[in-house]
Amino acid sequence: MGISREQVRKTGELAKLSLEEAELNRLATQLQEFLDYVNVLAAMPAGSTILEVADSGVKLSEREQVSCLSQAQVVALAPDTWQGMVRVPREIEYD
Amino acid sequence: MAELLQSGKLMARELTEHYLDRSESLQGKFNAYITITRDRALKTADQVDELRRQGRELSTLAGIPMALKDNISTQGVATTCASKVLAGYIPPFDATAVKKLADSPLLGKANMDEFAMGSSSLTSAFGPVGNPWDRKRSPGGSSGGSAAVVAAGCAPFSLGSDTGGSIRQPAAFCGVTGFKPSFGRVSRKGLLPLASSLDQIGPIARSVEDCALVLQAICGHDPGDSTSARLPVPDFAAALREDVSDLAIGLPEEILDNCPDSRISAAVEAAARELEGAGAKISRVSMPYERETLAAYMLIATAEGASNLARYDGVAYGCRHTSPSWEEMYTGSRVFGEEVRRRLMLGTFSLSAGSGCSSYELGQRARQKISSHLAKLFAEVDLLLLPAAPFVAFRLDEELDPLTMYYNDIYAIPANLAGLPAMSVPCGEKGGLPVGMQMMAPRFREDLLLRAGYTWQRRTDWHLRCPREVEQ
Amino acid sequence: MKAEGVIGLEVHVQLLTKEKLFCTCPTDFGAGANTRVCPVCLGLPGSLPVLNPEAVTVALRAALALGCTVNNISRFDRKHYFYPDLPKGYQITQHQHPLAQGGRVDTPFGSVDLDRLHLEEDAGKLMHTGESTLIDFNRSGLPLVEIVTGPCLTSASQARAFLESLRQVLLYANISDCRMEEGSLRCDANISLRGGGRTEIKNLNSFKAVERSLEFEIARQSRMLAQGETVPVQTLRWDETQARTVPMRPKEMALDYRYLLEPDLLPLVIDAEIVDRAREDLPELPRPRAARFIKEYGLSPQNAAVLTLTREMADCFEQVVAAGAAPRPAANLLQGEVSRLINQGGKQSLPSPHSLAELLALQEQGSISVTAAKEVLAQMFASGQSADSILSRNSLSQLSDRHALENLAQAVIANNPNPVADYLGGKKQAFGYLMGLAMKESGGRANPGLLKEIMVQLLTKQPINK
Repeated sequence: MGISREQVRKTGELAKLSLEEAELNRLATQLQEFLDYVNVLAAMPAGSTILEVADSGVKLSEREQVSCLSQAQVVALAPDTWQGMVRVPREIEYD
Repeated sequence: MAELLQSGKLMARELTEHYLDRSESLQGKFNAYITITRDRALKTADQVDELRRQGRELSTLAGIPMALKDNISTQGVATTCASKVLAGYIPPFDATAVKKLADSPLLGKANMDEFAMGSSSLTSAFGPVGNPWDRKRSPGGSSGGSAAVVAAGCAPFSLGSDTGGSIRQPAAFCGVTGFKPSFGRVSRKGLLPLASSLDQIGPIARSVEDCALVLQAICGHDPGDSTSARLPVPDFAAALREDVSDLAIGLPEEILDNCPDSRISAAVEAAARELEGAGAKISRVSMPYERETLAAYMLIATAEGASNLARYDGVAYGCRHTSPSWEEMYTGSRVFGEEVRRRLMLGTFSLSAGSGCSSYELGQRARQKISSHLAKLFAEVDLLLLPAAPFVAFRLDEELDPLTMYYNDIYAIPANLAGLPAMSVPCGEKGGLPVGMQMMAPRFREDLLLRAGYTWQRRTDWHLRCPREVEQ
Repeated sequence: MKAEGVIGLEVHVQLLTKEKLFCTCPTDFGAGANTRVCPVCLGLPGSLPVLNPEAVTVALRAALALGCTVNNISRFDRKHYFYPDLPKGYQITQHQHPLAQGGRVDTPFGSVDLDRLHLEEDAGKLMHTGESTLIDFNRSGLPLVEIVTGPCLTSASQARAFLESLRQVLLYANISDCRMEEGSLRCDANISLRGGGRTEIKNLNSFKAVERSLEFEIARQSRMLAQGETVPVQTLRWDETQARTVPMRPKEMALDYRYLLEPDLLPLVIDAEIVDRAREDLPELPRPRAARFIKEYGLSPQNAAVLTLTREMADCFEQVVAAGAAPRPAANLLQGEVSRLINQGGKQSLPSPHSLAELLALQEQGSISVTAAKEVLAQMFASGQSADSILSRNSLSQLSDRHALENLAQAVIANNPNPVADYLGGKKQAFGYLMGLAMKESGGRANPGLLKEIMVQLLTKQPINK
């Protein structure tokens, strides 16, 4: 399994990481090394599916009540708020 | 220590002050803490002393101070995961394990690899941690700070987390005892996750006995964690007997034969002979799949890790980079270190459509295979005995390439993949540095580990040794 | 307009539960911003989802009501994308192993096959102001089911009819309150005309918008294809004010969700016992109920359809009949005056089925006229009192006292010599005029049949005055 530089760049976009040229190149090499290493798994025979019920689902039961945070707590956590709402810059969505 | 507190010969406040003073004085040397919480620790200590004065019944660990790895959520105390991204994040809730240790004064939050991604504690945004045995060396990782504080006598016990050896390898590097419970024994609620299907919180202390006490307190089903086991907590103290005469212990031959450091494999072999002398039956077993193990772990842990780190976007909490463009706001807020970025890339790639066959699925299938192989082994033996790590503490400035760094975890990973309990205890030394050995048991059989570990520590004194660099 | 191609709909429905899907925050509407939020639905580090059993029950009921096949093991997945309303950077949904598959909704345009039904959590709410976007996380974590049709709808009108039938079933089975204007029902449409790419339409805020946007797209794309232009795969949003579709920026759209089986949740096991219990909780659904109304009560298909539009109306009808009323008059009353008064809105208390039956009985006996009955009904709505108590208060009983009617009629005749003369002279309309006056005099209460008889009697006795 190979990984092209373009794929590395796209992966960076998916992960929302800003990658500069030097890092991009470095990562391309390192990712290729990793993929070569893990390639050994392709040779393993197919096992059972992930849908094992061994550790199986349990009968649903009543949940433990957890109280809500106060608006003040939410505001204290957020980097920027306005009248109790979390505020981010407006991005123009539509043309 | 607990006895002294209970009998009243020692006050929690005295004890806590002692450990706080020591922690503060050694902080500059080893950088084992990210935050030291003096006021909160003393407040808890005073509360415990008062309750004891009133003659109230208290838990065994009441008044015994502790350190917590900084990826464990503590209400009102900064929880950073050693990352700039969470600098200043103050959680509004305690992890369940923390609630269960409410009577233990919190000395501080221990330093670690950023987001638990590492085996060196070098990747912390708050500076690397030094090994108390040699401060120019790594204490291991990712729970390096948690191990160092115990080794340096700054805390009687600490909690770490283990995803691929992050408790056991640092415990080995620092000459202390580290315990990873079975997956599901300890609630993960409040543990900032790396890999949700592999993580467990566990104790690090000087002895198996101490670990047993902590385990007794923190284990148990938590309805707030759907993956926590609905099993009663056994009486771990009852497992602390000096008797291994009924135990069959297996030594994985491929691992011992191929260990990069012959001193380590020799120490493990010697330990096996000692346990044999104590009555255990020793045999050699086969545990191949070394490369498959590391490959499976890399795929699963990085994929789940990338997913768990998707929430760090600076919107509702954490550090935010302001920009009129959402894209830049995200990329500017996600200022992770190099190791985290590397793993995010691998994890994101292996989940993405561009990777072709789902690599993550391949990893999970390999995991199944390794788990069933281990189950077969445990049909023949009660315990597996192997090294905790393939190296002893390496130098901080030794630049290990990423794959070699991951190789640190090679012996520890199978226990995480299969959800089995495993423990690391000191068993030797090399050039003045601790060597640790690891024991693995079947799922939910922590008692076997405790018994064998206790027996080992009654017959040897490796766990009592202290770094010369640290005066007691 | 029929499309040469296929239309599919993706509907998100908010379930009627007390608490959110993965945490115990309340689901009540209209609370202050960020006051119905906890570490789980805010996505705080270290928080873990815990599945709401009530949501499973309601979703299961929906699956059964729609004739789906329930999978006895289903799982949750993480669907990753970055957006400010998505606190964890992923949504917990069911992608690979949904709760249910298949199913069907019948519409007047033919039945529509469903592809799947699954559980997922809602995101927060964004509000755009001049320079900022504000986020309220109260909605984050609300329980939704996503219902997806097969690509089998063939016209915009069928799409609308589908939504109306779907809503009816969901309201009957108490799944959701299905209010598009409040966001408890949302719909995206997709359309593929033959020869063109798959187009998705978002931002549809009403059933009408669904219909109009599809009509617009069918027309627009057919034109393009006829002229030999290519219709690309794209996502559009519907602009209500301009009444047209507008392309959405591609970068916002689905790239790669990197689905991952949710490791924090166990597989969801639905065994036969849970299914049976859910089936017991299912009420009789609209179509079977209408069919039964036709058979049991001898109603026309049209009547049956109207009466079963809502469960409340259908329940009311059956209870009125059970209280002794005859089916046809009961149907008429409910379809007619009762519906009209309900739609009028305002402060009102719905009369009990028993009091409606009472009213019908009074009408049947002749104690009140039809006009009076309307008046009584209006008062029943306004005051919540029974027909009897209203009548005794307002003396709205039908006047059937012969003597009183005779006096009344005599007075009218005496006071209106000209119309009387006209009538006697052969003008039949004059009779109607006199009847009207007499009716008015009686406050609308006069028993019409009796009054007529009396009028005729008295008039024929009249001397012919000249």
